[in-house]
Amino acid sequence: MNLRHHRSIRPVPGWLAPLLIATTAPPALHDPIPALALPQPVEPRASPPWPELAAVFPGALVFGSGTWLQGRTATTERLLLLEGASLLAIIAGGLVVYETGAARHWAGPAELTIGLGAGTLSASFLANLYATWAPQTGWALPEPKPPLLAASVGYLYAADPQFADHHFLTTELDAHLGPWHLALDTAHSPTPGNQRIELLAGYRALGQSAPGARAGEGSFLEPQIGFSSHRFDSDGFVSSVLQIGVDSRLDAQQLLPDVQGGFFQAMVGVARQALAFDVPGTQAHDASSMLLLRMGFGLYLGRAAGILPTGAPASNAGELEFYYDHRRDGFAGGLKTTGPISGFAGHLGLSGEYRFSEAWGLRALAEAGSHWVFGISALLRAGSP
Amino acid sequence: MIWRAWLGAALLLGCARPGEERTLADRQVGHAATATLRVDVDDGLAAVRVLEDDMVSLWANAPSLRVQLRFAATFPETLRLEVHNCMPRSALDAGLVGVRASGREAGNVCWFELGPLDGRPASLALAPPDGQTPSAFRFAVMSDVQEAIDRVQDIYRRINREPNIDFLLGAGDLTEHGSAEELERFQRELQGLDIPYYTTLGNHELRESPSLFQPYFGRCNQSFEWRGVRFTLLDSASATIDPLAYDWLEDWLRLGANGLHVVAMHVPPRDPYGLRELAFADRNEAAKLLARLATGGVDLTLYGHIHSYYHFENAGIPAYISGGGGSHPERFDHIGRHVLVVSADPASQTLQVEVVRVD
Repeated sequence: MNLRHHRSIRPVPGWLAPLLIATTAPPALHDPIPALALPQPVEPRASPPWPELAAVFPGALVFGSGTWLQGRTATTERLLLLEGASLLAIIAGGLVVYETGAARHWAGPAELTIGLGAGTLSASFLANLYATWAPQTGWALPEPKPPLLAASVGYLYAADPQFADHHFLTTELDAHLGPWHLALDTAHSPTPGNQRIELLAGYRALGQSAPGARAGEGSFLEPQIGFSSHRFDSDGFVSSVLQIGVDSRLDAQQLLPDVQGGFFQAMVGVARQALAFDVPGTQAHDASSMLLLRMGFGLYLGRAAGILPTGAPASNAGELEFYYDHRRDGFAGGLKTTGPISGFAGHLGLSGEYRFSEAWGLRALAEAGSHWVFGISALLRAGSP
Repeated sequence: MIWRAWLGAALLLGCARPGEERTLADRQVGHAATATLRVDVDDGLAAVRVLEDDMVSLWANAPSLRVQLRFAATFPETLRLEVHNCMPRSALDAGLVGVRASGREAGNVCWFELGPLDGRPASLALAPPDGQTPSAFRFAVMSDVQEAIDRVQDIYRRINREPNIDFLLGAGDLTEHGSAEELERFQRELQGLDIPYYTTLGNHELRESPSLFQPYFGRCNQSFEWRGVRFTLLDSASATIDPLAYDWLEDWLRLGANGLHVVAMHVPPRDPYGLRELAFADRNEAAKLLARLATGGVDLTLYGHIHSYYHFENAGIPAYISGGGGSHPERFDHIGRHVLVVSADPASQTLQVEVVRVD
């Protein structure tokens, strides 16, 4: 008999609705980290593979279908709550957009609500799959803390028919100095005329690497400020973006207590884009605001050995994340949707990192927006935890 | 709507050229043949609505047309040429072919009976006498009628009251779903408008796949000149411009470089209220387009899609969004249904835009 285990938990209070994972993160981060031990055996309602199949259908419509068949009622309730709250946010934001005709001063907050709802819905669906399919302990624990320095060099391909440059050399440099986070990313085409540089500074206010952080948590809350410059010299313009936002991660067990080794990720912010055009005889500049919203669900990857014989997850060797990113000023742009929402959507992405040793690893990226983007890079880390 | 959005997004993953099919189809607009007759409209500036051995019916999408007729070994003695959406005072220069009779019917339809035909190719030019002479004129701009088609005659009556308007320029979203019935209804309603209507399509014309716009109205991307001013209509209905259309745009920018040049499209490259993002899907592509328009000396950009009125600048070019055709309006903007009326003066190289309210 397949006995699943789960902890006894209380229902999530209403305010924990996933309208904004970032806002839920702070109180959750003060909660004790759920323990891996002391599971209570539960009787599954169906044996494999029915729960795994049910997680897809009817799980795509009713989140938690798979976990319900596994007898994990509390997790099922929370997945349903996430789904319901997501749909509520989408409907509420959609009603405001519809009733106001996407009025200029109402559209931003309303579309943020829709985006948060849609992002949470997607992330929760993935969490629903993960909760059903993954081992209860997950495949790995969060990394205790990020390394002091991580550098990577790689290649990025942008299948963009609108621009001549498709191949880019990329570099990434990430430094974590206590709670401070500094990042420098660049992308250069081999031919002059298309270069992108991004600078970012963040401060871990809560969670991993933050002052007073506890060991073993992957959750964090990090206010950030960033700047990017993307030169399209051969096309006659330069895009500069100044952004502020809050990036956050919430380990899945904070919301779904018997689901470990996964995480929700959310970044919310605003940006100001300035375009400088190289038009002979005149100074042409445009400026406009951008809504920043990136939401996803990911899982921690363990060493090749996978789950240890003791049943405990392996040590962290990387992570994989599926996400929706609302911004469209990068290489992927936004999805070219038709109908009423033509031009509204951002892009989807899958990113991952896997380390073969403490120092060496690989990073990979695939994004689908106005065009496909693929990237792969070699990773070197120093000062690993 | 949400599930359709996600389904659409899923289907469009990796579809970098959603407008490719339409743009390729643009090349076929204005060209048709039967066993005995071939019709070619220069630059595809009219849709061939009906083609029979002794009758050609066109829907003009520009004020001046040049039409080439070629006959097979057997050919009719006479040929009836019907041009819908025909510019008032248009005259036909049929070259060596005689014009036996001509007339004009309600709804901007002009017709000509050509003959006798001798089987030799015929080159026809249809235009008002002063169409190619640079001179001051006015035109109106309207977009986003969609489900408000029942009330569109209010707009046409208001435009008809405006003096010296040569034509109405459309920036898309004529219909709600882009169905054949809606497109036919839109063309029937145009009978209430005294002037012709030249347009591109909007995202709502994409709800039928493939879009039915071209057989009814003509090319999605096109360019024509009128009284010394160049007009370019671009297909941005998919929140992008197809790369092939960018190649055409280069030519049109060259043609319009020495005079006034007006560019219209449905989805604006950028939303003046950026957080809303009712604009191109890719901000970099939007900037690329604007850089080209600015470098090409475009004097005025006109957009639809957003159901309100906005005046701003993009890449230093004056820009107007006029989505006042009556579809689900933006609230709190105190605009309501409206059209733009643009006064163009090639002599002074000026374009003046005014808002004409309908309600």
